[in-house]
Amino acid sequence: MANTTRKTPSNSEPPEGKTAGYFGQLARAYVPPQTYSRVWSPAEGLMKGTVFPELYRPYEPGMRP
Amino acid sequence: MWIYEKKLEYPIRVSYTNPRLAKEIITQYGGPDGELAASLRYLTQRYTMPISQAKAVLTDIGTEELAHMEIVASLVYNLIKGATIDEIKAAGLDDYYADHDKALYFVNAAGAPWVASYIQSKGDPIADLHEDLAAEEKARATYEFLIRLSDDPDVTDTLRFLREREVVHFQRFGETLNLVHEWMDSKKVF
Repeated sequence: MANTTRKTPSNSEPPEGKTAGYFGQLARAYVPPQTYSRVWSPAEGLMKGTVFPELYRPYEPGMRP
Repeated sequence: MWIYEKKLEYPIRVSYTNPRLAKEIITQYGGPDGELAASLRYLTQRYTMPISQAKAVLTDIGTEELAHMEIVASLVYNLIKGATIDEIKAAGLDDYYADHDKALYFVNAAGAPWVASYIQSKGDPIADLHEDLAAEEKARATYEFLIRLSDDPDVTDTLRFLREREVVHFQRFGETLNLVHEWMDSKKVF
């Protein structure tokens, strides 16, 4: 089964002074794992498209990502 | 196997007949970054995922994309169903009308039919998940272009919902990629 710890494998420790932990390997894409915190109500989540405030990225015409 | 819910995931409303906007939005029905491509891509790739969490995420998101396909179909149909022949001609939808009347068909905004080469199913879970992350961003971008093109606030409201779901799906595929990397690393150790 999957290893659920968020550690860099021991054969690829990041260099001294560099970011330790999960985001340490070159030539890999990472998305930070979401941690469960506050949620909106189901009704508000439906209107917004998500119940998670930290994932809500509304778009206004004219803005660029 | 699926259980069908006899209502849309998100309610839709259109302010008025608007075949021009329908012609643009239909690309999210049968275009390269549309909901048919998304759902079939995920529901096909799931078989070769190495861990159950990845299979589950692809099944869940592929299922939700089917629900989005239904929302887009409802938008397009409601935008064209009341259109006169003159309105259809003025909107440039007469080419489509000649082949399909006001029926739904899988085409992009320029009328090109859906093809399976829009999607890939590589068997390599890292490669497939990167395609899925890209697919979510391309769909998000398309919804932003459609929001800019929309002159109907009710339609824009639904497009905003669909766009936000792409953002959430990107996060879930990213977390899935982490899990698959961890699984592959654990295979190297043991």
